Amino acid sequence: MIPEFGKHAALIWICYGVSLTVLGALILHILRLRKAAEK
Amino acid sequence: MISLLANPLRFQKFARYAAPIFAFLSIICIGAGIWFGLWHSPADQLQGHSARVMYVHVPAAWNSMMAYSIMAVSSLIFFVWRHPLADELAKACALPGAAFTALALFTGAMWGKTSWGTYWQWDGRMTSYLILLFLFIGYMSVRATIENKQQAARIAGLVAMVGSINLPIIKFSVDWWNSLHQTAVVSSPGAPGLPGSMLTPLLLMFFGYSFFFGWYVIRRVQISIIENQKKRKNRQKPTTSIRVETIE
Repeated sequence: MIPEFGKHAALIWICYGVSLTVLGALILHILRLRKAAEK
Repeated sequence: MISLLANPLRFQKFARYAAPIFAFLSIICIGAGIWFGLWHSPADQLQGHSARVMYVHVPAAWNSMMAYSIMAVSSLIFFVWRHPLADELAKACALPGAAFTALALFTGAMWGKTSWGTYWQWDGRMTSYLILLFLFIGYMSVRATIENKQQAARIAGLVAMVGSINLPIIKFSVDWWNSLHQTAVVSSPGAPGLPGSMLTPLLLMFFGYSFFFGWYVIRRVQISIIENQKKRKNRQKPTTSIRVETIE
């Protein structure tokens, strides 16, 4: 199920992981701003 | 369409429907892009599996430049027509733009280490792209540090507009100067192009990131409108109470 990337596996998973983390951080940021604005 | 949305109430109506649609499309496109990029696209002939970093690096870079363009154009509209919603739009683009720029720099450095043997080189493309990050940070710093909000908006807007000269420099740097970074493969006429199996995840991730950026900006502008409405209500509230007594 999980694809094999050989010697580049760490590179690929780190890059994709960081990308999704950045998107997640932006989502959390906007949700917090909305909560503060609606108080 | 733009002038229709310039009214805050109309924008709020538009945002109520547009934001969930953008969020849904973003999830679909990013999910499909990752699926195709990791499971259904071939490894590159020269770079092997490391080329799969392209599907997160290139869309982030394209979106960062799109974010800066929107920020600069909105700042110009604010400068010329003094429309407050244009300024809110420019402000909303800064953080996601900076985030995409930093992401592209990070993934590019990681990819560069495996492809070129180095994380970084001070060539035209990478240096001008780093300047883009500094421009985003500079814009946000100006807005945060200057107390007078109108003045902050004008000065930050100037930073955005003047800094937009960096965008064509980034785009054409690989053609003008020697660079480790490869020339355009997709976007220029005469570019070699990508096979469909690689172009599909690339475009899916680009659209996914773009819809995500659109969702973020819509929500951020919505929040700014709510905050401004609250500030106006608080200013209109009387600060002293008047009691009326009848004399009998």
